[in-house]
Amino acid sequence: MTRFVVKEIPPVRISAETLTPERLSGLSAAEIEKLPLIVGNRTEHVGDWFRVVTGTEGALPGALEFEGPCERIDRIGGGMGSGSVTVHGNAGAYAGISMTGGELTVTGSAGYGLATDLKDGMIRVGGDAGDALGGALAGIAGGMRGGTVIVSGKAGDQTGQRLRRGLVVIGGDTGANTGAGLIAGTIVTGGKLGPYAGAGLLRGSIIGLGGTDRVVPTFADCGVHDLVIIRLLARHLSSLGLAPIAARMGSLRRYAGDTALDGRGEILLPA
Amino acid sequence: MKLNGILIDDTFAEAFGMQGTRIVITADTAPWAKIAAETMTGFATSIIACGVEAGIERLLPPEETPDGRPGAAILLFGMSRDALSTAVRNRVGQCILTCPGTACYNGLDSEQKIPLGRPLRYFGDGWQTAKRIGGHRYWRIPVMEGEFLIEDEAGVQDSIGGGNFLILGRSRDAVREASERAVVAMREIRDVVMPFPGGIVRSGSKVGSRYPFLFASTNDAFSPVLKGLPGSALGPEVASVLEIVIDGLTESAISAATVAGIRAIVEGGLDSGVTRISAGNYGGDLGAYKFHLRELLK
Repeated sequence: MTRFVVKEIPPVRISAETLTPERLSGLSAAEIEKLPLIVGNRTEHVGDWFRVVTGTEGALPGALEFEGPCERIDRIGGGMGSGSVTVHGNAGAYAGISMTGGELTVTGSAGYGLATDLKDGMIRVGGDAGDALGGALAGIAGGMRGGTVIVSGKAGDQTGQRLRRGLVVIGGDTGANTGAGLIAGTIVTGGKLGPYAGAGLLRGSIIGLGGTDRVVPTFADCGVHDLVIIRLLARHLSSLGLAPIAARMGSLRRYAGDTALDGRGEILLPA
Repeated sequence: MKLNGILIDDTFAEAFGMQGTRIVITADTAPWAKIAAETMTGFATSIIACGVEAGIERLLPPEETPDGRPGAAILLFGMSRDALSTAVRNRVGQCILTCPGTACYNGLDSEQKIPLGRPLRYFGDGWQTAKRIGGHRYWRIPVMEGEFLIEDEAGVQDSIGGGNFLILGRSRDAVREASERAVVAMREIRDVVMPFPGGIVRSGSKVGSRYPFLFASTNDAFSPVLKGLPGSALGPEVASVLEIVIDGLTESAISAATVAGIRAIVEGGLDSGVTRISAGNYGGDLGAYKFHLRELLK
């Protein structure tokens, strides 16, 4: 295991995208501290901002841990393909961006753009997530295209917007435009869906177990159904340690849409 | 070799390579899961005329199925991957898609796959949607009852068809009852099915016929109504012969089923009316697998 202890709160944002288990494999603490690090618009060194400790006894190889104030450390776990990265506390923006595998854990909250362009892997956030969770890179039509994101708390606006594939589970409420323009994939919220959830939805499922104040009017009420796919999803959530949410997934009211776009997706709400 | 007084012939069962798959069916209730499984495995005794050999491996309690409902595990075997794929598509489409409350899943982890729900999704006429959960891809097809759920593809693996043994005895009742005991014991073995009615076949066949249009015909050497004639393999004490055919995913599973079946029979001893156990083969030149009875029972 390699630990990165933040020396002090940086005055500008730092990109930690180069600090992944694959890239650091086999390097000593001294070698890692000499690696370049993007700080604001300058290139400095890892050792300028982090105290690096390697080879903690009993720890798993391929594991990175970030400690200290990380709110201004962006892109933690970005592009990682294997191993694990743990942030003890809050993470900055774009945590887990373009991940292709491995597991990213944030014990606190994550900032803007969590899981942007996620391709595979697992992201767990113990607190809340900011806006644009699972979104797309600039200029790209589709957002997150695989993997799983679990946020224990609430998530901001545009959660899962243009999501293409994968599973997003939010324990609490979500902000406006949750799943707007959803291409495929699944979003489950334990709390309430914000306004305009699913607007422009093409395919895929938004499951709002806390309901919503108003369903977008271009969705058709298909009635209450006991769907086998929901049983499978509930079992899968239980296997991910989300039994309390899974237990709430029984018969649900299905809204099909977005009919404004000939969409074949659905919003599922409590019966 | 004699076990409990019953003669075990020094012979072997000759079996063939096949392609096998396991499909798991679930339904709202156990009876409907069984109905679906029985319907899907109907007319699937022999590839000679059925195109596929299939049977119910076992009924599954809710805790063993993907969706937590009662279910059944079905094994199907074809002579090629294409033949198996076609048979699975047709049988699932006509017997499972149509059956109230059912869902259909892959039951075999394997690198090799055949389409399962992929060709059937078109029944949804554009309303079908795919859903990926936990690494598995499913198709949701709207039907009049609600929604039919089926996994996208199923695993397939090299398998074995035609394991067998023959039960010979002094009366029809004695041989049938002994065969029934064997099938009960063999159904405890995983990865095998006995595809004939009740697991038992009375019309064992030999390769070829005196008629050029027929490539299999009655096993006259083991027909008791022909005993005493030249070519008969039966002694005067034999009044009936039944066969149990075994298809399995692995050689070891067929061996285990063969042993379980024969041991269940010989437990009854000579008093049960069974006098001899034999096996069907074609001289050893046709099948890639040979199950020597005496070696298995050592």
